[in-house]
Amino acid sequence: MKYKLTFLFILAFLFSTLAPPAKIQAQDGQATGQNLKDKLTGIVVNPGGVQRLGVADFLLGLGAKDADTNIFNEVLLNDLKFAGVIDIVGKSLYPKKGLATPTEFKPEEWAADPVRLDYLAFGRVTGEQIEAYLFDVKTKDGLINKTYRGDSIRQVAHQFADDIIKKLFNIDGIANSKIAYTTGKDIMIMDYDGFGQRALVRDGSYAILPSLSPDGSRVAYISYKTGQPTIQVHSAKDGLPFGFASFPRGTISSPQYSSDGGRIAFASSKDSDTMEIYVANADGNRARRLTDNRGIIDTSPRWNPKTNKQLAFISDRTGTPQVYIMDDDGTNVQRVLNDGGQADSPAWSPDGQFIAYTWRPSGAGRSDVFIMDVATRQILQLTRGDGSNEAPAWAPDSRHIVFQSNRSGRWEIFIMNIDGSSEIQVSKGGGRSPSWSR
Amino acid sequence: MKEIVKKLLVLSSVIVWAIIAAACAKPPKAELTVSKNQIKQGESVSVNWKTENAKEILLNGKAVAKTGTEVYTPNETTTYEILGKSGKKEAKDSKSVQVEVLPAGPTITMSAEPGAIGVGDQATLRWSSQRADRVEIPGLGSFGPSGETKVSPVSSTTYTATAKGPGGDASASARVTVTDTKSGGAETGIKNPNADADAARRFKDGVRSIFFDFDKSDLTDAAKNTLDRNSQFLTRSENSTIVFRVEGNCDPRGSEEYNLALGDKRANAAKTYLIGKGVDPSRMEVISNGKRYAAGSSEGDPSVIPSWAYDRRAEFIYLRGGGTLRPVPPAPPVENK
Repeated sequence: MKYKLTFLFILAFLFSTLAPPAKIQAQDGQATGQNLKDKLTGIVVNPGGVQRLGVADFLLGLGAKDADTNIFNEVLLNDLKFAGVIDIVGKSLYPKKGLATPTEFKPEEWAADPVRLDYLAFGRVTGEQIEAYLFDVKTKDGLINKTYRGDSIRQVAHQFADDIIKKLFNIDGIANSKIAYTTGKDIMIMDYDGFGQRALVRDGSYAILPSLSPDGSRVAYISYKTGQPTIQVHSAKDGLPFGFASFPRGTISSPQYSSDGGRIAFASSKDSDTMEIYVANADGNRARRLTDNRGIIDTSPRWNPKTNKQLAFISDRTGTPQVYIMDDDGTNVQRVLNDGGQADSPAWSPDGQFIAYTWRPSGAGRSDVFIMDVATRQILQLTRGDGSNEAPAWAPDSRHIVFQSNRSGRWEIFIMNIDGSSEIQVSKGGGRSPSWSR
Repeated sequence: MKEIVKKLLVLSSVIVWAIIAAACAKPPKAELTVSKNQIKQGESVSVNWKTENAKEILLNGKAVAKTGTEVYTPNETTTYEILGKSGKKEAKDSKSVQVEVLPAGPTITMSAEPGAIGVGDQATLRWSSQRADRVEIPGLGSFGPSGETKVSPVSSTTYTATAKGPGGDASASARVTVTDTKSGGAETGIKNPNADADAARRFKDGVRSIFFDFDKSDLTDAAKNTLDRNSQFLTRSENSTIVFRVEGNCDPRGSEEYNLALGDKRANAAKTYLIGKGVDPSRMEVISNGKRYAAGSSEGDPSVIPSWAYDRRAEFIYLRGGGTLRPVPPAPPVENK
């Protein structure tokens, strides 16, 4: 079944690449074709998708609390829906609301109209553990039969959601991923769905631009606590500080770890009168300068996490900020957007295929999040409407984007699908500059 | 007799059945996987196991369910073993997780002796560090893990030494205060107790902010005029020891990062212009605040607070100096040993 699905995905993918090439406009704008819209929408499986998964309510077992069981069912369903890998069939169609053990599972009634499932997840929450099952409804094979224990019911639900996604599609899920962000004074961290929000580092000065290492172990950010901006590095688990190189002069910004965690890119004016881009060891030592343009801003470096051989960045060499890419030795600089206005905050998807960025007409008070297909240079606007939508960053699965918006009158963190659908506010109490990691 | 035969028959059939059952019992199976074979100290690893036909299941000696997952954060390299027992039969599976122990970070202490000197006098900075390869002091250079060096700052200075080692960095600071009189020597300046406060007030009246156009760091004619007047104030003899900071600021449009860069470019444009007008670069520190203080929501005018036009400025902040009413001649350079 898995192979059949993979095959379908490949087929859909091939079809999208066979579509007629986008119209290339020379100067005044990049093609914003339907192609890219279709491709992105095809990445996220929406209701009515090919494969159908049912998630029966987990039943209350011995020693469990009603509230825990309800939380478990809610978290599991939200995780699987948000993952966007399979159609989750609505519970109103189910022959029964929940079932606890495989002996109660009758494949025929779950295969029949109107529910017509391909797979069914079910199980039981007891006081000590959670027994969880995933069955292939058509072949009647048990795919997962696992007992989970953990301190947090939410974490266990996240783990089972990721296990289902891994089993069915061999994709690493994001149910257990974290988002770091700043209130402007403190560096915060939360589960991807907004729960477990807490201050990781109480900096108290101007604390901005947090960036998680791709393994989720560390967060680097810019602090003004010494008066001069510096890069601070802390453990993303307990907030304890790690050392980082300091530089005697200049402004510094945009710390960004390579996806292997071995290097860090940042922008600094430590050796010049404008910000330039550097790549250093992960502790900030052996910094090597990649850009050297007198009087020109080069900032916002972002690795191509797929290769760690290229970086996207912002430069004002044409007079306004625009998105460029270059190799990790500073060669092969190319401008990748030519839409005029101001392009800002590039973010390269973990699979290397897309760059998300913000764009606004020159002088406008608000921005929107856009996406560019790196291979075809086609672009698509993802956010619309009230407020400014800025600072996009990618989920580790390359299928979701996190950004900041002040649509409610205050900056908050939002997540959405790669095609701009399903925007959800996840922070409470204010948040900016999100960074998403495992 | 019949009764005994019957009992024997029953007993022997029970024994035979027991033997057959024992022989047919399936041997236990056990399988264990770990999410990562190698982690760094502080990272977690999840251990998954499954067993079949086992009556008693032990994970590193602890009784557990037939299948399950546990998350561990081991501090050292650890082997996880699942043991499934059914009677005398056993099945085992184990995986080892290598833990990379992070080296401890360095520590450093530093002192300045004496803590206060007259202009032209020397102070000794002494430092001592552990678990460091080298110690860097910006402006002075790179040194061994422990040592000392002589300094002779013209104005009060805080020295920060950063010890760098395999486990990271650590910093310590020591301040050398420079008094206006030569210690134990003849008076060369008259110290007014309120002099620094006076200098700060003078500075505030004499040095004005400059303003920039949208997304620009070029100096407008108005900005150049202001900077000309600022440089006249700053190069006057009674103000020539004032040290100050140039802070670049932006309006709220655009990203935090681009505005940090734009504010930096604006502050440096002001600094470069002042250098051209005879203000010594060693008197100026530069930082960018980006849009930290941006408060405008429409264009407005520099005289309107808040407004975008007011947000886009380079500001000059008094730091120290200027307290000597009669200026002290510059001290002769002192060689460091």
